[in-house]
Amino acid sequence: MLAFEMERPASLKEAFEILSRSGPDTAVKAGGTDLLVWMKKNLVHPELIVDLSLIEELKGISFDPSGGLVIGALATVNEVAEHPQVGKFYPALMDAALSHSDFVMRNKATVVGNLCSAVPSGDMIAPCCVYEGVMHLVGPAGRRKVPVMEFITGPRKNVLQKGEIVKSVELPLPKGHSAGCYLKLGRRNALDLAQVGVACVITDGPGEREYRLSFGAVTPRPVRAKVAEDLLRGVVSPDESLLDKVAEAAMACVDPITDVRASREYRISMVGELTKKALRKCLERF
Amino acid sequence: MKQTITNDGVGKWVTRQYDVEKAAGTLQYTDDLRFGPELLHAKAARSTIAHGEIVSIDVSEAMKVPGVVKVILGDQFVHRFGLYLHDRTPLAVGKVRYVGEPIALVVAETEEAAEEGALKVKAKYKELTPIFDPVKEATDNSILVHPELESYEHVPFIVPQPGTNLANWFRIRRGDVEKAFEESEYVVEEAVNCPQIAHGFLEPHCCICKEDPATGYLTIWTAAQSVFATREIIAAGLGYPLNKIRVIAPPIGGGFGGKAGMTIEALCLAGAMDPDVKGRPVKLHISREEVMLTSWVRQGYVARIKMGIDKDGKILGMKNTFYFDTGVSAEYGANPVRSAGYTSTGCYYVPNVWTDSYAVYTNKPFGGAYRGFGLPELMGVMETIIDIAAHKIGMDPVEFRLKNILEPGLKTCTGMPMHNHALPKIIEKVVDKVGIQKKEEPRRPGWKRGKGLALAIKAPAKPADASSSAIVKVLGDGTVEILAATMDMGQGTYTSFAQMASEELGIPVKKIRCIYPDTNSHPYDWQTVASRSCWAMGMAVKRAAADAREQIISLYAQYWQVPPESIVIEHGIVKCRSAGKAEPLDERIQNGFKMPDGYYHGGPIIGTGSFVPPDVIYPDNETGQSPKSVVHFTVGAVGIDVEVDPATGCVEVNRVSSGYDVGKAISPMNVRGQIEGGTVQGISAGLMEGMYYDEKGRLLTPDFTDYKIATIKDIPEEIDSFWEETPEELSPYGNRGVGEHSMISPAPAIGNALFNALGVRIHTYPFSRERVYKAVQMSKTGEEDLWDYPYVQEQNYKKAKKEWF
Repeated sequence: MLAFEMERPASLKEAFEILSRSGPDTAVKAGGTDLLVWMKKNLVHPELIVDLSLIEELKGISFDPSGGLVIGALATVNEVAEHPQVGKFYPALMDAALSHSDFVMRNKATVVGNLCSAVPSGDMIAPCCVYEGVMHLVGPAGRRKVPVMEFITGPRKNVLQKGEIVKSVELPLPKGHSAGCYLKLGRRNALDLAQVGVACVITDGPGEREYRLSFGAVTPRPVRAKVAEDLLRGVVSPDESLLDKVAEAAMACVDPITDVRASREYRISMVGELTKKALRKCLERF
Repeated sequence: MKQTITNDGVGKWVTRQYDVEKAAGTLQYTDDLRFGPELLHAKAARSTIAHGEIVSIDVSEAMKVPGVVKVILGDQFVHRFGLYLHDRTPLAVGKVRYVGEPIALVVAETEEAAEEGALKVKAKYKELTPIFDPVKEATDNSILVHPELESYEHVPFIVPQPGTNLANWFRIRRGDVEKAFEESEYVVEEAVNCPQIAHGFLEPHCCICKEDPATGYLTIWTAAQSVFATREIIAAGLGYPLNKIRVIAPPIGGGFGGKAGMTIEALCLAGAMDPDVKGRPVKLHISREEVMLTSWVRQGYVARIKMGIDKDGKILGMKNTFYFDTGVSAEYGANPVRSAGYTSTGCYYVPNVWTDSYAVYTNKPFGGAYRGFGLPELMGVMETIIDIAAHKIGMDPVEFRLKNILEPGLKTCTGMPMHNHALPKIIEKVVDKVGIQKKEEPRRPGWKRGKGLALAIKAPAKPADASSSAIVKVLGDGTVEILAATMDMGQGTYTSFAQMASEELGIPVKKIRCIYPDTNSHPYDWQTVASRSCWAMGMAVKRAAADAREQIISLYAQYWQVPPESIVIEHGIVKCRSAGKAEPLDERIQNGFKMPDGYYHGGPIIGTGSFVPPDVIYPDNETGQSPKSVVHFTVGAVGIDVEVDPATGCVEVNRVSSGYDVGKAISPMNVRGQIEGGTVQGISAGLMEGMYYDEKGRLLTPDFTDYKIATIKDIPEEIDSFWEETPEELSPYGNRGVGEHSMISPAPAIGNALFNALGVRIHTYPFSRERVYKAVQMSKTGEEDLWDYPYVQEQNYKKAKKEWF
C-alpha cells in the first residue's frame, strides 16, 4: 500500500471543513473494509483519507415504531445484526447482515458503507430496497433524502456530491404483520460475495397482502421485481404454478454479467430458484 | 534387552511441540525478525502480458521516487535456477512468459517507496502469441515457451524434449497393451481434467538476504521448507560454493509443498547482491496476490485412460496419457509428472501397461510441489475411471476394486513387487462405516443423496539418493536438543522426532526439543517433502539418539563399575538396580565424569545418525522398469456420503471416513491431524478450488476473494480417521509416510458419490455449485457425462458479457 495522510475529525462540522479544502484524491472512510482492500490492490490511491469513526453524530441505531429504523453511518454490520428490533421487524436485513463476510469483519464493516460502496453484490442493498430505505445525506449545502434505489447509480457509483456525507439510512416500519428473508448463494457456505442475493418481504399492510422482491449481484443498479410483485399482490398462499410464474418474472428483470464467480446463465437460473425458496421461507416465517 | 523406559515414546498420544508459542503468538516467523534501519525492502514490477519480447524497460520514474535505492533488471542478474531442470530466471531476461513474471526488482528504504517505484517501472513489449492449453501445446508445438530448452541443465531422470513444449516425458512400457485390449471383453476409455490449484498456506513467502561485501558470504533468512535444497539450488544457479551460503529457516506458517525447493530467495538475492546495495540486508515479503501469481501451484491436468477388462472383471491392460500443465517452469513440476507416471496403475495390478506422462509448458504461473505430488491428480482420474468401468461392466465398484487390487507380491507398473499392506481391510472398514453399498434417504428434504469410494496410494517421490542426518545433544541439565533439518510446518514432525528420541533415550518428551533449521548448525537433510521425514530423517534421529544412549550407558558403566547391560535410563533417571544406583542426568553429561581412577572421562554427549535409502534404483528412462523404484507405498481409502440441492447444485458432505496403512503411528495425535487436515483439504479442492485465467492469461483468482477454500462451515460434521499398522521393513519403527496421502482421494470419492446421487458423471474438477447444477439439469434429460474441456472457462469468458458499462 502506498503512503497516505489521514484526518480524523471529531464532528460533522470539522469533517466538512476538511473536505472543503481537500483535493480530488480524497476518500471518506467509515469501517474501511472496502477502501483498505482497494488501496492495497492499488485500485485507488487516495492522498487523504477522512476517517469518520470519531464522529458521535454518525454512531448508533435508533428505532421508533412510527418512523422506523435509523442506522447511523458508523453502525457496524454486527450492531445491526444484534439489534433486537432488527431481528423482530427487519428479518431480511438481519439475514443479510449475518451472511456478510465473517464476525471479525462485521465488527468493522458498516451497513451504510456497504451501500456507499455500491458494489452490486453488496449484501445490504437488496434488503434496504425491500424495506424501501432512504439515505439521509448531509453536506455543506444542507440536507437531502434519497431513496436507496436512486442513491446507487451503477457499479461503485452513487449520487454523493463532493463534500457530502451519508448520515444514516432510514428504513420505514413495514405496515401491519410482515415477514422477510434474505437468501444468498455463494461458492461456499461462508465468507463469499453473493453470486446471487434475493431479499423478500411480505406485509399484510393496511390493504391487501403485498410482496416485495429485490436482488443482489445481478443488476448494475438496485432493482425491484415489480412484475413479479404484481403477480403475487393479494395472494395469501401462492401455489407452485404461481411461484413458477413469479420466478420467470424475476428472471426477466435481472441482467447479470459473467465473471469468475458465476456465469450469467447460472445467475439467471438462480434468481428463479432462490426467489421461490425465499417466498416459501417468508411464508413459513409469516 | 531394551535399556530405556518412557511414557512418551513411539505410539503415545503426547502434546505437540511449539503449540504453546503458536497459541500465544510469541513464535517468531521470518517477517517478525528485526534488522534495524539498515534493512532495505524489495518489490517486483511484473509483466502485464503473457508472452512477449522485452523491447525496453524504463526505470527513470521509479528511480525518482524518494527512498528508491536501485532498480535491478533481468539482464543484470542472469542466472538459471531449478531443482531438477534449470529453466527459471528470477527476473525475466529478454522475454516475458506469463502475466506476473518479475521484470524488475525495486530496492528501497521503505516498503511503500519500493511499491511506488515498482508501479512506476514502465516496460514496452513486442507481443508474442501466448499458449495456455497443455494438450494442444504438447501436440502442436508451433509456439514454444522455451525455445532454449536444449541448453538447460537437468538431472538424468528428467527427460525434456527440446524443440517442443515438453519439459519432461515419463514412460512406462510393460507387456503388450494392444494385445491385451484385443483379448478384453470390455474396453473403457475416458478422460478427466482438473485446473491448477493453489496451496493457500497462511504465511505468504518472506525472505531477507544479505551479502557480506568483504567475503561474499550470503545469509538468507527465509520461510522455506528445506534449507539445504534452497542452498543447493542457489549455489548451483549462481555458481557459488555451498560453504559461502547460509540458509536459516525460522518457523513457517504452512507449506503444503508451496515452500519446497527454492521460491523467492533468488529474486531477493538479485537485490542483496547488487553492488549499489553495499551489503545491506534486503527483505522481500510478497503479497497474497503475488503468492498466487508467482509461486508454485498444483499443476493443471488432463488425462485419458484406456482400460481393457476380461469377462470376469480383471483388468488386462491400461494405456495412460497424462498432460500436466506445468506453466512457465517445470524446474520442480517435472517430478510430479514422474511420480504420477510410476504409479500410473493406481492401487491395481495391471499386467500390460503403456504410460506417457508429459509436463507441458504454457504461459501461466508455474507448477510445482503440492501435497500429494502428482497423485491427487492421477487418482482423481483413476478412481473416477475405475468407477465408470465398474458401472459399464455391471459390477459393484467395491467388488471391482477388490478384484484388481495390487496384492502383496504382485508387481507395480514399474515391475517392483508390492510389499505387505492392509488395503482390503481398510476398504472393508470404510465401506462399512459410510454404508457405501446402502442407499439412504437424504437428510434434507428435496435433496439427493449419494455415496462414493476412492482409493489412495503414494510413494515418497524423491531422488534415489535423498539423504538425511541428525544430531542429538544431551545437555547438562538432562534435556535433549535435536538438530534435524526437517521443517515442522504444522505436520508435527518435531513431536514425532521427540517421541523417537524419548523412546531411544528414556527421557520424557517435555525435556526434548527440536530446533528450527539453519545450514550452519544442522547436519544435512535433502528436503521436507514427499512424506519422507518420519521415515528417512526418522532413521537418522533414531540412530543419533541410540548413539547418544550408548555413550551415556558406557560412561555410567565405567563410573559405577557395572556391566553396561545392567543399566537402564528410566524417565530421565539412569539406574542400575543390581548396584542400587539411581542418578539423574546432570552436568556430568556435559563436563565429564570423575571416574574411580580420579581422571575425568566423557564430555558433552553428541549422538549422530545418517541415512540414505539403500536399495532404490531409478526406473529406466525408456521403459520405466526398476527392481525397486521407490522406498515404499502408503495405501488407503476414502468413503464419502454427500447430498446435493438440485435447485442450486450445492453439495454438502454428510460424513467421510478415511483410513490409511501407516505402518506405525509414531505420534498418533499428529497422524490423526494429518488425516483430518488432508481430508478437509481434499474436500475443498474437490468442491471449489481452481485457478482461472482470462483469454489473455490474466489470473482471475489472484486472492481469497475469488480463490475459495473450504471454511469450517463447508466441512462435514463427521470426519472419521483411522489407520492400520502393517510394518514397513526398513523404517525406524515400521512407519510409512502419511503426510500427503489424505489429500489424494476425497475429491474422486465426492465425484463417485455425485454419480451415485445424480446418475451423471462429472469429468471436470472441481464440483462447484454451478457445475453440479449443470449436471442436475443434464440428469433431467438423461445425459450421463459432463466434461468441461480445461479452457472452456476461458473460452466462455471470452464470449461473455463481463461488464455492465
